[in-house]
Amino acid sequence: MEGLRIAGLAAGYGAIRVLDDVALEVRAGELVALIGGNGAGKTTLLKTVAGVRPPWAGRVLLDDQEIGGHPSWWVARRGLTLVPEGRGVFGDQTVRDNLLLGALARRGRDHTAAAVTADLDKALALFPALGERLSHPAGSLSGGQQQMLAVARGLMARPRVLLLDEPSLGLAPLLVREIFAALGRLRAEGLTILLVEQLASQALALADRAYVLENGRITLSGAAAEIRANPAVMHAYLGRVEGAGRAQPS
Amino acid sequence: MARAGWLALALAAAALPLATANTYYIYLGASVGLLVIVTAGLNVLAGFTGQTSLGHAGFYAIGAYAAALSVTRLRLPMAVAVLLAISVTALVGAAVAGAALRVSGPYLAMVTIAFGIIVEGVLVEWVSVTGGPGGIFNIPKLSLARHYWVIAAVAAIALWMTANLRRSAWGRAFVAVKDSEVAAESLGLSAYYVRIAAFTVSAAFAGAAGALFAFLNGYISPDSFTLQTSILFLLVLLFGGLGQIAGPVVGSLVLVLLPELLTRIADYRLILYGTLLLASIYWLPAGVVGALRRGRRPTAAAGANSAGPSSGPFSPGGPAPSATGAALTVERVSVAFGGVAALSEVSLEVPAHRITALIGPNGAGKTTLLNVLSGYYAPDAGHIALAGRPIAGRPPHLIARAGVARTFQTAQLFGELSAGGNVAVGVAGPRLGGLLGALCGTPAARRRERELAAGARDLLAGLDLTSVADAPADSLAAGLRRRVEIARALATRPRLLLLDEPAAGLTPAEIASLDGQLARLRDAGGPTLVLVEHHMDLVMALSDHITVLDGGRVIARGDPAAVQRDPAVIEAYLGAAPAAAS
Repeated sequence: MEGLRIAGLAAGYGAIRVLDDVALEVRAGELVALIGGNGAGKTTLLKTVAGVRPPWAGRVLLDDQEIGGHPSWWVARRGLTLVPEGRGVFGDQTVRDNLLLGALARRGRDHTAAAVTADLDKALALFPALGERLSHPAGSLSGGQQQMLAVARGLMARPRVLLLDEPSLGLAPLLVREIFAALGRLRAEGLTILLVEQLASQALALADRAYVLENGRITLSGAAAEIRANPAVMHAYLGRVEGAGRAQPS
Repeated sequence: MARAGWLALALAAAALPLATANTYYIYLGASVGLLVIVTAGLNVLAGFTGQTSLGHAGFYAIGAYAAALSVTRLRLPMAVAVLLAISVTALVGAAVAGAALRVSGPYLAMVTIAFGIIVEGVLVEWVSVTGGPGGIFNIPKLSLARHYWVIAAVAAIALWMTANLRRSAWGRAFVAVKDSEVAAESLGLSAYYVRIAAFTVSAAFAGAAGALFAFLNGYISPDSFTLQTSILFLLVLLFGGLGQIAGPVVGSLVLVLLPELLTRIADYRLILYGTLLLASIYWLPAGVVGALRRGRRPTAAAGANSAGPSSGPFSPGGPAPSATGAALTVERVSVAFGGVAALSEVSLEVPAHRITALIGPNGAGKTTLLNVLSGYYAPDAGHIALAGRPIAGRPPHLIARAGVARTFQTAQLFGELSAGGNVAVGVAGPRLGGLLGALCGTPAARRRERELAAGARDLLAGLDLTSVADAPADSLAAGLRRRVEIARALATRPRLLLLDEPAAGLTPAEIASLDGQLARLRDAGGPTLVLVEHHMDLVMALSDHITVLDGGRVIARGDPAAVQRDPAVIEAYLGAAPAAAS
């Protein structure tokens, strides 16, 4: 199968098991959303798939090739890119250098100067605000701009599968809409994306399919529209704050 | 189990002179004890506080010479000489720290190397006092067995003291400064003075060991106090386990006894040390004790936590509500970074006991303003007054002591401490109590410790965090980290609480819970709140006033309804399309 396939995945920290028997698929060209509460294990799942954390058990297949248990740089070279939560941009380097570093894991034909420049232009077209700050150190960008830079840097790798960990975190409403619009364009171009997002309703509106992760287990999966209409999901993840301080999510 | 292990170790150590009459073994035992004393002290500096010293042989030397001179020249009794040596070393340590701790990390390591070299040079050159390269002879000695027991007892006290210290407000302050200096200062701790305290303690321990060393050998010379000795101290600690109370014991035993067991290859001792250092860093980054402890970490449920609002009483603490009015006045504040204006003439009145939201596009300068208010940036121009008193340009820890607490966009928890420990740092703030009391675990210190722990528990309960109180902060998911950070900020009983995107990364249910908690805080007459936030549902529901920044300028202000309708705000921030995108 083309894309990402995870089966029986377990992972954790020390004696704490965070993920238990997780199975999940992202087929080529799909945008799949992963939603769940804080501490459910979403970030751990992405980190384990990307090779940042070691799996305790299970398989992770990228285009039918086992990538589970391999180090992150090896996984990145196979075409799987993680845009981590908390951005992780290189603060002392310029925005341009940050973007060019994103292309470091590419190989072969993709790694020509012309191809890299073309992708740089494409990334800047997606996030025009970065174009104005190309020669500034990334550390001088605001939090939201750093978030855009992290996503753009991930795209510079020309990933076959892109993992995004809360791309909307800390973004102003206008930028949230911008970043979701950018994700929509990427999806239309056929990029395979696994999206972890706390803004569940926006993520589900965009996704083809979705999984719900609770306490380290997948408790629900299906077409995004179905998940969105599921009463339990609406209650837990799509609720809206109403009234000043009197919302009772019981 | 740990208690039984310590007891067995103490018994074994005490029985050594009874088990053998071989003076060589007893001397080796005494050497281990001395090394334990020095490295237990160094553990406070390097392990707890995260600062490296490569000059502790200098303090070891000062202790040894001070004790030797007190006895040979001043004819003081040995016990008095040891106490005098400890005092002198502590004083020198404090003075050196005051100068050296303007820098930290690798720079501090360089400065301490220089200090060690200077001490060694003085010992060689100041012949009239130190005896020069020949050193001091004929220092009175106790019988070897008796002296061994003295050293073993002091080593036990040293370990016990570091264990007491680690559990105290001082110990948490040390770790706090190591894990996040920025956050420690936001709670009113001065990283500089906290580090000086750690350095002084470690120097005093080295001084005690030095004095006992002089009385063990009866002869001292500069050769015993070289850079290599300093490196050995650090190596013992790295090998045994940095920050682990038992680390010095394991490290000292292995590094004293191993070369003796391998006397046949004595010529290769240095190679052995070097290899051991490399190997221990490669395979045992947390040292032997750290590696042994890894397997059995507490299995705290660091995961799910009910997001429902608290039913328990939530006492916000805080100073007695003063007369309402402006809690914070910001007048024409400007900040520029390298010619780029981040804030231009921003003025703001924050009314007391209300919730003021600060919104605006990314890059508008919201976090910069919070950083100016809490002292991390000094404004280039303008005035800031907290309840009428100017605070602009003062350092963060003093602004924190004046009553300003804050959270950070990326939660800055002290990762090595538990969630409860993090909050306890806030409860204590700069009031750490006596350092000697903390070392000795006096009843007063223990009582205070219980009060701090109880205060931390109450705050965690108020934010529905009881279930994670004992979980290591490092193991918490992002949303929980934010809530622990809010509890920690509230623990300082602030007048003014600055929250930087408290709802980022929370689920809608968690946001609703946060909304309820903040509203209750306000309604209970708690601190004045300034909120930077992008979740407009939360901002609109909660705020009494909103100020909108764009490009470093205030573009709108008013109540939520007015701001929401403001065309400039819609254009810059909310977007022309309907605001509720979900």
